Amino acid sequence: MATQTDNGEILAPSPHQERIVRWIPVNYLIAVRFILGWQFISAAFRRYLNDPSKLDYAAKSNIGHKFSTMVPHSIWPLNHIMSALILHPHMAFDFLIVFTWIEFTVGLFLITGTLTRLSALGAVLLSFGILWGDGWQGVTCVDEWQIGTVEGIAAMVFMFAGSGPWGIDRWLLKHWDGYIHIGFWRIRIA
Amino acid sequence: MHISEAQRAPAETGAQKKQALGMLVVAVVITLFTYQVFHHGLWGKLVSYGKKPDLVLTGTAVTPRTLKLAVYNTGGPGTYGEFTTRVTIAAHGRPIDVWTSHQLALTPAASIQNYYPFQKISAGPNGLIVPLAAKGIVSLPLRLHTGEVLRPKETVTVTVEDVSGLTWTIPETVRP
Repeated sequence: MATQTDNGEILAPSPHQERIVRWIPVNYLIAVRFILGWQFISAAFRRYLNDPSKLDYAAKSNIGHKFSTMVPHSIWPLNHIMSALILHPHMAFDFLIVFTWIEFTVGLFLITGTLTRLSALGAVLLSFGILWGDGWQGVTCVDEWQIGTVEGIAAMVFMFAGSGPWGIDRWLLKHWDGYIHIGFWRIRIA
Repeated sequence: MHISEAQRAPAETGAQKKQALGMLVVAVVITLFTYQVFHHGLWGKLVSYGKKPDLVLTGTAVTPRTLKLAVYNTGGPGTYGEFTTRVTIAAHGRPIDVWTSHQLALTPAASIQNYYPFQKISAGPNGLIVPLAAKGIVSLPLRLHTGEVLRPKETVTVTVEDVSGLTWTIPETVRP
């Protein structure tokens, strides 16, 4: 039985592999893409909407404290970078604001399926950054290690799978092949 | 039922298989590597540095008049610190000087040199508060009559005790 997805892909078992589903619609990944995006966009919401004191340099609860607690057992090369950064508190704070906006953009783009492969790369870097820096924390369990590995590897899948039919990319790809050219490289970002 | 060649789903290409296997390898390597590094989950005894405070006292210096106590809290939750309620200097197993919770609580801010600007060591109502990742040197004056007891090159043991009873010790040679 041949079925057609929204994207126009033909899904049909080949006669000798009827029992193995070799192609699944990318729509199946929408749930993962949405909640993965939410993990990042909500980090920005928590800092700008839920609890603005996190981004108030004068407040004792500012995010620089949280950032600096990661340093003791972070691993190379982030241990050196973070340790140097927290010795310059204003620079660290500027970095954290930029980081927050990157999280917001990556989250928004993943949720809406915009330049999905590029935003998934951003999510991979953010997640593995968190894993490298903070993977040792967690008071009762291996919490931060789970967050870093699961988010990073889920994001990695979207670097290859793309947004599928439910996303802005579907419209973008009607007008553009999704590649950018940098020097010798041809990189697919949508 | 007959399915024409045009309708048949395309087979995976070699490149896609390589990508999928590549992702698997990267995922497994990163996951197991960090699991071992952070939690010793594959080999050795399982650890969780985030569970309770862990002070590193490296850099502590003792002179006949002052204890320069270097403290760096490298463990425990980021939201609730380590609370030092007793500091002891002992020589040959005999306590030479002891700073109790009350005395530590009165440590003036000028006696605490913090290394980092965010997480800082401070004096609290019941002793010294050392939040996670706070690092610094706390200068504690020895009482004069014990200062006469300590001689340069003598080996002493500095012990720091948390309110929960956890202790950390470091041997030190008395400097002139």
